[in-house]
Amino acid sequence: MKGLIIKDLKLVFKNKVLIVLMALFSLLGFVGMDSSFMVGYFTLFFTGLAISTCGYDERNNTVAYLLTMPVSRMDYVIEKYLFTTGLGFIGYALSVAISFIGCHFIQGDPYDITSLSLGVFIFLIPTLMIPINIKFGTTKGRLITLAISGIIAFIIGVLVPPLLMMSSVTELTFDEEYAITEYVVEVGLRTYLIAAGVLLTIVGAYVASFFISLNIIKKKNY
Amino acid sequence: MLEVKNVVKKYKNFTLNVSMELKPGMITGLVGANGAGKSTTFKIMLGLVNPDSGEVLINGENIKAYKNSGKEDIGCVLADSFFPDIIKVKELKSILKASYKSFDGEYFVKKCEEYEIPMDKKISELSGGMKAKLRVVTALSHDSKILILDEPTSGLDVVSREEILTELREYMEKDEERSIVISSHISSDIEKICDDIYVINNGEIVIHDDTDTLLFEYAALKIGDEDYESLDKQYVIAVRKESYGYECLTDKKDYYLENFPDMVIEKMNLDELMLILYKGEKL
Repeated sequence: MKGLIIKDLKLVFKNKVLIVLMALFSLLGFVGMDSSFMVGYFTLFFTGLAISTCGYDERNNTVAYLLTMPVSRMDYVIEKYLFTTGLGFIGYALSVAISFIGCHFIQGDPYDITSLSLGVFIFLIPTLMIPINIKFGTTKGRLITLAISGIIAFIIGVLVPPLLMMSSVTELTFDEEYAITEYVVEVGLRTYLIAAGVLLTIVGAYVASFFISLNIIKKKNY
Repeated sequence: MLEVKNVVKKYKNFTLNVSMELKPGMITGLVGANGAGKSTTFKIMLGLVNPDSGEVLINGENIKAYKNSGKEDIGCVLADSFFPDIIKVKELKSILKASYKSFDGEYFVKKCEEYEIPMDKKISELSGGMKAKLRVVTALSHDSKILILDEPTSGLDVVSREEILTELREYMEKDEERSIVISSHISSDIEKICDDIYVINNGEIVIHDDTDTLLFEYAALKIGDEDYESLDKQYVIAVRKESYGYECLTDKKDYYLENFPDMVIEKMNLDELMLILYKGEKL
């Protein structure tokens, strides 16, 4: 496992141009870039960078060689999830820190706390990309990811608006003081419930994705 | 030590059906034409390809149940697989160090210097010969008991090939329990180094014998059309039609020398033997 992590770290640090680009974006974060963009972009970039190691593994048929070493098929899958999630978290933490410092200390604006929710990418990207990359490889995988992303976007586009409607209790009246309190509690509760539901779904999908990847790699011939 | 027991793997247009045994202290060769099933056999040995039936046992344990600690005992060279080529040689060293408990960093560096493999260069920047040597050095750089080498001398000149063969002989001398299974397109390498040889054709082992037997007991009987009909064929393995008549492969050269003193009987090397097997018809 340690060898796999070192290999992937070495591969990731080969992307020097991209890392310079990241540094540039960091600077922009300090001087006024939107925090949602910063957090989303950084998190996606870091998880994407981690996923790109699958491509290097595939190009030289490295997975086959790795599996002849003291590395089991399960080790390979665990490492890919750990590495992608770990690197994604680093990107997320960095971007939150940079955008917070930029917002709070340099621009003097209040920090947009909703941008924190973009941390879901840390789990969403490996959930979607790792099983696809193991099953189909990176070239075919890219097309399949594109198709699946389209489907997900469509579902979200159709499903999210009703969910948002549910979270706003517009039918309540604000005439009396108790009604306002009730309104706030109701909206807050519903928002938290939806957020918890979304979080549970993502964690569930992440775990399911891990077992799907494991099942794929166990059957795969190298 | 390593046993491939009745392994069958079916593909759309090809079926592999092999049984092999690798004994301690022996170097076993696997030879065959392109697409004969050598690489698939090696991959099945390493648990990289799941067979439809049969099993691979290493020291009596099924390769599927083989733990990571057991894999420390295996070193390998695969014809079509290695580390990402953007990795530098020195980076490869640190990956190997983190992967194998018994990795010998000093040996790795010493051999890289000996073969003039620059530690600072990416694998993609090395010449074909250097890459081949690096693969072998990598396989030898931890304390393995079995070496599984698919085309380790591919792309090397005669001097480099001899260096690799010497490395393998030295590896065997360190411990009587060690063994190697090796494939190569260069038959002379196999003849030089192997104790026994398996010949594979169309996914099946067609000959297995000691190297000495193959080189000294096997022979080509060259006879005309009329003599072919009356030939005692009980020790003829394969026949190939030639312009002058027939070329017959036998594993009992002495029998024909004694009983047919007028017959043209020629000693043969592994390439000639395989030509009769591949181009001719097995009896």
